[in-house]
Amino acid sequence: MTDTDKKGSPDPQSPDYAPEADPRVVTGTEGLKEGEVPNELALETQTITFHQRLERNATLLLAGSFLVVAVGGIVEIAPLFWLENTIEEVEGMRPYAPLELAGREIYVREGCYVCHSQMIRPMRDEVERYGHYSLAAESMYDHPFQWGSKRTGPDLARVGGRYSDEWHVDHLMDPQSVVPESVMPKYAFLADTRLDISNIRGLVATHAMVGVPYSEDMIQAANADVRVQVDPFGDIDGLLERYPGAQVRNFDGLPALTEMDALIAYLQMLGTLVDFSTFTPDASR
Amino acid sequence: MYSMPAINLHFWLATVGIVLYASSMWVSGIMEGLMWREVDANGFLVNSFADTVDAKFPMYVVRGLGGVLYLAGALVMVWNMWMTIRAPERAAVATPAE
Repeated sequence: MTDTDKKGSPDPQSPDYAPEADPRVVTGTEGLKEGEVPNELALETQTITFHQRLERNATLLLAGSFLVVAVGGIVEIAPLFWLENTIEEVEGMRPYAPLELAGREIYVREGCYVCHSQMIRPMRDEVERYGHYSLAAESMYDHPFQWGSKRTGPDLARVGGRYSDEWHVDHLMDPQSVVPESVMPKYAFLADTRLDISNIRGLVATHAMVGVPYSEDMIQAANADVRVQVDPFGDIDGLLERYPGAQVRNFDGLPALTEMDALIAYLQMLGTLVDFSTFTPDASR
Repeated sequence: MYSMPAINLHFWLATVGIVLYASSMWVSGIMEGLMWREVDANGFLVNSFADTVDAKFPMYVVRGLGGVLYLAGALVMVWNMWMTIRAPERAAVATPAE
């Protein structure tokens, strides 16, 4: 009997292959000469590949992982530089009139977005229920956007013109009086609170600063525009020239300029700027 | 701790509370989505938005109940911790040598 017979075959292809008979297989102790201090690394790693070197060197590893993470960062950040291209130009979009903007501030302040979304998705039931799906351009002057993420109440992206001003007043005063199932809280205090217009010019200027195309003329006229939009007998030519299609009337029916006026002015213009009877989406989209 | 049974009570109140409110919100979310998209044979929407709000009422009741149980558990814990803090310092018990 030969040595090979006892231990099995050294040929890895053979059915009775025994690793201990294979001269190419070594174990840690076998490879060490007497008195030699063993290396930390197992002998099979004597040939260290490029990647193993990378794993064993903290500086190289740091540089390498930074490069890898940078790829992910660039993929997410670079498209933002071309964000402008993704917004389709749509006829009819204009910046909010000062009263609407003030109403929008109240909408944000009262946290309306917590329960109401402003984003109609392009699904059949949503389009059926709320109207044409929302376009990117319709949020282009929104700072911050009000798309929302939860519909405890219905979507408001196209609530403008859907109900009368009186309905809105009744509904905000006591939601259950017009929608018995509603779980919305009462906002009656809006009718008792005068709209604070002391800083309306600053509000418009701030939106101009973050990229909404308000002209210097619009900022200067903001104080006058906010008052004249609730006064149908006032001099509204300038307002309508600056903000085409702005709705001018006494929204809450009360003599004073209240927060209710501003909020309803905002709600009544939501989603009404684009005329969808003439709108055709870009062929490329 | 002042009371081991109170710890167990807190555990079970919290567990049952979470199960109640998680499952009820889960069910109501799926139901709401299905109701929103339900159309009849002619392609008209079946439910108004207010219908879906109305249908969620029982789930909100269960959600409320779950929340109350969870809160009750937390109160038991606060009481137990308070009693533990207030308990007179016990003399160190000598451990007999083996």
